[in-house]
Amino acid sequence: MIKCVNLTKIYGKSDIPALNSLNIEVQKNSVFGFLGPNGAGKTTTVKILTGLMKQTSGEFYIGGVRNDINSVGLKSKIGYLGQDNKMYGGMTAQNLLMFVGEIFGLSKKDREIKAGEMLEMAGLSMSANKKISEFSGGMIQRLGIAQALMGNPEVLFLDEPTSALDPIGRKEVLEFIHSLREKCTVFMSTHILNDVERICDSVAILNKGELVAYEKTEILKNKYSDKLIEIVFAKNEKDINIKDLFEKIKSVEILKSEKSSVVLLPTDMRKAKIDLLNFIASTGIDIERFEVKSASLEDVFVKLVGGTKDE
Amino acid sequence: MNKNILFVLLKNEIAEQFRSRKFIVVLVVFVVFAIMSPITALFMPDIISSVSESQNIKIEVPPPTWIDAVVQYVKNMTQIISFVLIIVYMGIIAREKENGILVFLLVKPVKRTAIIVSKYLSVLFVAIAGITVSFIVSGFYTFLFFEGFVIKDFLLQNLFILINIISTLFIVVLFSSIFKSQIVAGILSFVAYLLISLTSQVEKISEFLPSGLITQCNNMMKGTEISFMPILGTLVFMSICVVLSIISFSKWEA
Repeated sequence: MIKCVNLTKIYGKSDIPALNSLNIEVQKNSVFGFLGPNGAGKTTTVKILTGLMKQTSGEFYIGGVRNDINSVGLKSKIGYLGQDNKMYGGMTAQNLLMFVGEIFGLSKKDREIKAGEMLEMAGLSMSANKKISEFSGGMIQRLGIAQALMGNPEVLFLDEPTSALDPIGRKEVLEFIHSLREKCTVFMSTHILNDVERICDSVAILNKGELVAYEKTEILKNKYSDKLIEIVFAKNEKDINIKDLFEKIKSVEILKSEKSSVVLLPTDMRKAKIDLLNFIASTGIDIERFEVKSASLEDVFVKLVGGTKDE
Repeated sequence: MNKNILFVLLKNEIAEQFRSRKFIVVLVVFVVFAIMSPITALFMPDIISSVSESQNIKIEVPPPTWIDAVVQYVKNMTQIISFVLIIVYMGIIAREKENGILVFLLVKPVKRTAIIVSKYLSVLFVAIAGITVSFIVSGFYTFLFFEGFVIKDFLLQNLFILINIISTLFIVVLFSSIFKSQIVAGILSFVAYLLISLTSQVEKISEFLPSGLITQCNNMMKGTEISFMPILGTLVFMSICVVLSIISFSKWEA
């Protein structure tokens, strides 16, 4: 449904590309997560794919058709919700959807029917005649998605749709996005790993403009780390220096360390378990939990992106 | 894509002007200065006399005529109103670039040219509405207060003023389409407006520029021959503004 071939963007006279030779393909009717830390090049990619920005080189195809900036054909196939979702605040939700329907050339009757459907789907039927400026953050995001769906897009681009929302608003929006799978292909850029893990079928991880991973979500988790060890320390162990302690153990690599816990990537699981348990017993560190667990997407992300941060 | 997209966008632009109350504010300013023009002309001799008497100076002021009212009207419309319009409309595109509303339209099946043309048409609508109301209001009071007022000439003068105001608005839209900051767009529009106004001192140049339109208004009051060349020159000038906006905006990256 979406294909990027060597997509590259260099801003101005910069030597470092914001996006470097991106090659990805997104399957039809899937939810695709485009993951990366801030400044990785996610928004740049979305802006190129939605015709808001011109790529320096490379090509991209939507529904098999090659597109470019200012392509009106492209715009009739896509829906877009930006990171900073701005709409006409003085309009009511109903008026906004009617206006969008008019842009797409729908008749008045069709516009009314479609706007009603979209408001219902977004859970905004009761607020149809309320001014957008009076909406909450979650309502604005849901209306943003609803307006993006007015033209029956083949692809819906969502750029950080949940980043500005509170937990309740985030849950509402994620559920809404998840329900769209059968209607269109969703391309969602985010830096919130939990969101991707919850709703995305496949995921690409971008760091400093480079694609560092691109797989189905489950495969990616299995591929990059099948098992990890997590140790949670007891509350009385406040003054331990996790890094100094566990760096001495050669059979593990510290993947993530926090104040009271550490996630370790074993090179040899059996040896690592013996080494760690012996070490804990010998040092007398009080622990609450010692767990062998499957890697979460966050663990994979930290491994792929966190490791390259200091390079 | 909707074949009437320009109409849809224009309708939205005008509706947005009403929603943001810009249109009402601008219309009120037009009306206030349209009424003030004949009233100021009517009371100016009294004002001057009272001021001069308080200073123990005697100034003989001839009784006001409709010409004084129209001179005041031309000044108000082409100076104060133009300044107000620059401030109100400097963000017509730049502000939407700044706050991201333009992105909302740019990801819809809409040609960028249509967006720009709809902005120009919306300010055209404002100028026509403002001058029409001003013509009626000012014409009525000038007719009421003064004898010998020629409404036909006043109509033609309003046509010249209208084109002058439209040209100022087109300069504003041009800079607003080129720059992302409405303040920069406003400052540059004002500088361009001043530079064009200054050309009125050089007849050979102003004959092809918006400033020449004001000269023609004054010529009509003096009873000297008028030239329609400034209209032609201003139309060319305005077309250049539109073309430059389209070129600039087609390259703009959100």
